[in-house]
Amino acid sequence: MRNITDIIFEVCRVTHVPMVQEVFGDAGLNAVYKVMETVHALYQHVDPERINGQIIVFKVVSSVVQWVPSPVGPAADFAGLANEVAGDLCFEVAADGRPYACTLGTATLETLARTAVVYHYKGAHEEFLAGSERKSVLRLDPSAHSQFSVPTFSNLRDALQNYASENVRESTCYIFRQVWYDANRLFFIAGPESIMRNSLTQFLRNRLGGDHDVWPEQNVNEKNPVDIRVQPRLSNNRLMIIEIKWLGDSVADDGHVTAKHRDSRAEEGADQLAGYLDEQRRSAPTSVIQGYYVIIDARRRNLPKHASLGTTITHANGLHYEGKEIKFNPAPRLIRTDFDKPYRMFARPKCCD
Amino acid sequence: MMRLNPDATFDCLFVANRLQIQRSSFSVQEVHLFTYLACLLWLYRERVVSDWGYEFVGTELGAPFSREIDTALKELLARGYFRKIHDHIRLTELAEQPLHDLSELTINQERSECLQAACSSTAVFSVGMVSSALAKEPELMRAKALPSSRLLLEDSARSQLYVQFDALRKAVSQRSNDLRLPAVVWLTALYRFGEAEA
Repeated sequence: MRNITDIIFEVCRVTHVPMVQEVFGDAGLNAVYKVMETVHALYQHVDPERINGQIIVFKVVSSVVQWVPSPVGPAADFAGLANEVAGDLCFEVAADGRPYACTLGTATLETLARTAVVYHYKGAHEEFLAGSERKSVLRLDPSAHSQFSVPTFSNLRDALQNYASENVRESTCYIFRQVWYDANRLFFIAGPESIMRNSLTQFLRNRLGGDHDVWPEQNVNEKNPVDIRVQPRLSNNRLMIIEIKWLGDSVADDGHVTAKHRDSRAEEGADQLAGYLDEQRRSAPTSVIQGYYVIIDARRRNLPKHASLGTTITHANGLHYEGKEIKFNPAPRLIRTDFDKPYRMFARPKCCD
Repeated sequence: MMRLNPDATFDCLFVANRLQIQRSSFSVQEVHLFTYLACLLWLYRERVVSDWGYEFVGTELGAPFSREIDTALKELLARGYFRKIHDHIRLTELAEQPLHDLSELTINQERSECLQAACSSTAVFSVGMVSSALAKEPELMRAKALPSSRLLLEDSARSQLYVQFDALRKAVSQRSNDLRLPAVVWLTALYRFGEAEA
């Protein structure tokens, strides 16, 4: 494993904040922070994924240009952009610290960067330019569309709902994507559980703010570990445990099916989580424990018995199960109060029609 | 009425104000987190830990906690400087003037620089990322390895931290005196170190 000293020097070499400081000095540092704060504010209102074109935010560096003309017109209102389908967006952060909409005209990013710190986003790639230098922004949360648009949730329920829609539905999380055997997302690889757990653990760590600790694979008894344990930091008697199960078909490298999991598997998982909750209550009677059951659902209709990398599926077959809830008998949340309604997360395939 | 630590009180107001600029509210845990990061940056500046004015313990979950911050938060809530909304807190208008007055004091200039740099990290990272990164800091890692809370930043325990700070100084100090630079580089490095470990 690399030591922390090596990583510190590497971070200095490859990341954008030291680059900007090296090019423009401390005035550049002020500018890059102002630009990042503006980008943050923009992404609180506008999802970068919904922008069809490119996003440019820049701030002229005061030490380079002695006098910067004030932009004309009112400061930009990011909230007004929330539901608009936007093409290219360009904002200058003025000397008053506020963003103003502008157009680049004939200027290019490179010419702009001679006197300004420039942020540029296009197609999920983001970079900073300063002087003749440019560096991609290090994406620490691979499931976020931008390093500056990682929302923080105050509770686990909101986070799980967002994980389903942002990461699982279209397999947008880079870690989660590794669960698939084929590009059309019809079959899981054999034993995808650890990848699912890693994907959800990282998502929760980044999104739950500083309020919670998230631990993968925690033992609750001598037999099986629970997938993820979440504990509020300043409340020792609260505990949330997450069990993950998957439905669908998994296949080995040669394409033969290793497991086919359907509704009965989901029932087994619910029983397992109920067992964990009972066990925890016995071992920690003063704790308030809540169970969260995550079901990654990749059921497909009419799949072939043997998988191949080029297997395709129609919309009708691929999305057949998307709206079909799993019937639990009995429903765990109806017979106990410490069990949230199961979070079924349907992972869509790529359909051929 | 509880006795307030003046440094902790100022730090609560300062951090609350900074966090609230970005988001509508914040949690008490975030105040403990960012004041601890500011205290670490104070040490990076080669200042004495006892001059910070109050102490932190590392909980068994690997989180920083200060009794003085906890007391200040409760008292500020009781006096109406903060308002509670569910699990989160908001600064009220009542806090604006005292924060302004305290920020003007020369005695608070050096700690303001550290608090400012700590809070500026939210321009680059989500709070969760700051929390994950700091959990890989040597003192909190040691705290997590023990079954009970322990005092952080004691004399004998800071050597590993100083090794990291020496490396950080070599990497960035020739360039700038601005604390935001070592703060963002160190947090990124700690986060990546944690990823490599996972």
